Amino acid sequence: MKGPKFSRRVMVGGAGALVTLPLFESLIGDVAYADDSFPARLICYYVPNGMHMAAWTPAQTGSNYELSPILQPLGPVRDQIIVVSGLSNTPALPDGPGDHAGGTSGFLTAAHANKSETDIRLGISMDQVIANEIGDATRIASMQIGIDGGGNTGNCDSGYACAYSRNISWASETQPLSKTTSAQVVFNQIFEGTDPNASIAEQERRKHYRTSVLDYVREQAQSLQAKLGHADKAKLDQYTTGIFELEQRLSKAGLVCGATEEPSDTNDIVEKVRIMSDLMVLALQCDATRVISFMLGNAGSNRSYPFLGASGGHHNYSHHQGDPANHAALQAIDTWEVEQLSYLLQRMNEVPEGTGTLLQHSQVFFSSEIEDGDAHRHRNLPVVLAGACHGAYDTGRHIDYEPDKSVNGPPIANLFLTMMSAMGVNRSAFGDNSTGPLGEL
Amino acid sequence: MVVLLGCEGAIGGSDGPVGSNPFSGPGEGAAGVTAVTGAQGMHRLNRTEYRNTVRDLLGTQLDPAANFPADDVSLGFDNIAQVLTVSPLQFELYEQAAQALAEEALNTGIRESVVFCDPNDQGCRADIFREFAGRAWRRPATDEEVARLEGLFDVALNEGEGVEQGLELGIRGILLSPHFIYRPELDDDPSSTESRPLNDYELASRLSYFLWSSMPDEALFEAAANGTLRDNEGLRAEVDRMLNDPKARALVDNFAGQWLRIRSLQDHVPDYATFPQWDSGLRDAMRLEAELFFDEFLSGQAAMNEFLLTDFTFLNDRLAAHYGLPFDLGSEHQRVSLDEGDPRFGLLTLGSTLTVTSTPIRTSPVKRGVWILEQLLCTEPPPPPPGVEGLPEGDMSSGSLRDQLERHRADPTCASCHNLMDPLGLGLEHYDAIGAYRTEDDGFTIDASGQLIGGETFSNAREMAALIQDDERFDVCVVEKLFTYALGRPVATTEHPFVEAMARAFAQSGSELPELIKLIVTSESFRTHRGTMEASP
Repeated sequence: MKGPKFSRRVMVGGAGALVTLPLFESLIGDVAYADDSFPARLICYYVPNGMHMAAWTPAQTGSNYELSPILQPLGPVRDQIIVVSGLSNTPALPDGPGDHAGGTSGFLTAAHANKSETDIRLGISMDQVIANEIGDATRIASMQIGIDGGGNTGNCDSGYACAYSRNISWASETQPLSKTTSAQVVFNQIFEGTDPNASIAEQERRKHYRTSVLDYVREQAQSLQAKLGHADKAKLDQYTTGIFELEQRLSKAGLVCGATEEPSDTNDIVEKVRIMSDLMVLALQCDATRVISFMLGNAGSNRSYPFLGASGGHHNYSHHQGDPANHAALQAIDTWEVEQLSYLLQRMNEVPEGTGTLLQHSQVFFSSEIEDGDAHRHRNLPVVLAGACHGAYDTGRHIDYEPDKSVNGPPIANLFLTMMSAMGVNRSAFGDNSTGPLGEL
Repeated sequence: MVVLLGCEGAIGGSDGPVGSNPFSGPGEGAAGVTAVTGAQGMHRLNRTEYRNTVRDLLGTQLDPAANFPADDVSLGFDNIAQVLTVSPLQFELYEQAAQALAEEALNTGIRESVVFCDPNDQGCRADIFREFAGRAWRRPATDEEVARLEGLFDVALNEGEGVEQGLELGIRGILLSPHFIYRPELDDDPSSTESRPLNDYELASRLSYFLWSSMPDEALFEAAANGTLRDNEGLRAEVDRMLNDPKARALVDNFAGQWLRIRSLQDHVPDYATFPQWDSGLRDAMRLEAELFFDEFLSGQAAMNEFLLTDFTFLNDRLAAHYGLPFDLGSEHQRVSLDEGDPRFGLLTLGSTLTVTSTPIRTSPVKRGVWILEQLLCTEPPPPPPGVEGLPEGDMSSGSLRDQLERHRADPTCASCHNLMDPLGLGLEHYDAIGAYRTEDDGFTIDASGQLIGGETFSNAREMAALIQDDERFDVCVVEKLFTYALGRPVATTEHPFVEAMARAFAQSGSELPELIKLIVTSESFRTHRGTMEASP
């Protein structure tokens, strides 16, 4: 980690947490309160099928790197990102085939999935470690958003239950956090409970009713628990967790923020990604939540992109077998994905917060479940870390942690430790194979 | 009494209960050996079941389930209890749904079916709650449960509001209750892993969620109350009644929709440049063909021993033209008779099947072969080693698809598995990536002959279909798929001999699907519950 970049900023706090704030405020008051209004925030951004690495990896490392063809769309925010090469995720290696399921389930957990259609066991994801610690501060502890629900049928990946392919946020070893793919649901989550037309008394009464219903079903769940076997008890725990989280939310004030029209749902992917990106910015801007995970597709997605001239399936293309035509299609898709990231980052950068912007107070982790789609490698993962997160990172660089692409570089779990620390969540270990926070960032 | 099998358990036959008394205790069928019933996790209503249940409970115009997160799929189905979890987001949406449904119930035409007496009267309120909770929870509500609902009602009165608000709170509570969201099968001794007979209402729910993907109707509740479901005759009669109900359509949508991948058509987008004739009209025509086709088996009009070799299908003018068949049809689908010489002859030649097992721009003999192995023969092909799957898109520069795959199989590491699946897929090469018949692919004359791993040879798709139809794995596979779907869980290892015996009984009975459904619902596995101590069976 490096010191803060902006001259009008000072560093407060210690222990790895770098908090920046306007100089003026720091001179007049207690530093502890100074930057409270601009908390650190996190988005984890997943894209499927790996990357066409020849067009992804910048040729140079350090701050004078040039954006690669696929990374070109990030030009407007080049100085606010770090391109990270050389990290590996060996726990994501499946037992036999199933690299998409293994890579996706390990995406934020750095944990090894139990290969089974029904016995789901993995590990908590890093966004949830963070949400567990800071989620109380906001109405929604964390949000899970995506573009594709489930494919309508079929087995997901080589004997792995679909849960491994469709979820990147995991509340526990056994509980995937399903994502919503509905813009309306995301909108309602952000503004739920806010009714400008209702009097305070009316709003209080509604809240009281909701709490009463929750109390009632909690009692029911408790008496049911006593009559359930071991596995079913664990199942009903998920339900009682739901009661608890909703109660937490109701105990907090509704949002009055960023008045905007309720979005409608669409099947057009370009439109849908835009809407979801806008909603993610809104959720963070309004401080409805500080932790979001987003899936641009599910594991091994075979979506076709006719508007990019790539009308074969993405997964089919990703098994390119060195064919230049497949490379071209992949590059078009990968570049489009990075454009979507760039749009999100630029929107975040347009939100002023004090003397900085939302982007400067956030970190966005962007990557895929594998490296090259044909080789299914789980090393040298394509990673962009965007946003300085209050000066936690020295952005505007390309770092390659393992120039030898034939060996496994440092575990990505180490990056997750560093990212947790930037959110004020300090852990000494994470996932199956962390060895300590990643340096040089 | 029909008793099949040698090892464990028993299958209910057509003329008597399992063993001396189906509820005398698990495993006391035939040989009196230990129970075979696999462990059953508590089932959460999936999105479809929730949608259907609120439809049948309230007659609602609302569809809150449309916004629920997708249910995770396991074993090819979205009703597998073990992976149906509840996330905080899902819970929040349940809470919103309960509120919206309760408001609607009290303020629209639905009201009179819920509020059937004067709610200002306390006795009436208790009746309203008892009646509604009993239906929503699919079993009679206890006095204590009704008293608690009245307590919830009082919350509104204590706020100074009226009866209406109190009723709404009670209904919200009922619809958010774990007894509504889940289908609990409770054990007196939760630590026991012995199986026990289901009670009448639990059995009624298993039946209705299997056949209708929804709650029991009034007649089924009545059958449960009367004890009619306790003997095989009663159960079989109930199955007949339920299959004749339009709600049995759920088996087409949800069982066949997933087993035969009919649902996948919706998400499949063939490349426009390659297939400009593809549009929603053609897609819908294919979907309807597949649904009507399966329905013919579900209704017993056709038997499963001709599933792959029928002399009929269902076409409209659009689809007949697409298939190149000379029928004069309107825009509505009609049952048409096929000749020996026609290139359409059953499941494998449905446009739906052929399309969803293709890539957007070409056929995939490997995908088609894998689909046949997995879905029709329940044989899991060994998956490819890392980095070698898939042919490049659209590359025909190096010979026909068959030539490329044959070169591929010259490599012994590939051959061991691809000899299993490629011939099955290549046998269907006369049908392109959207199911149209062709004799050439990109200038190469199609050769659809082949040899199966067991040595049997065929010269075309029809001969291949006959070989699969006669494969005994097919009979077992049909039972395994339907059993998995019916129970919402995998077939336990202890149940495999049982499933095989059931397949033999099914074949002997004439292979009509309604009979298989009856064999399953009268089986011990379906009529008993076994809890689980461990996280998995």
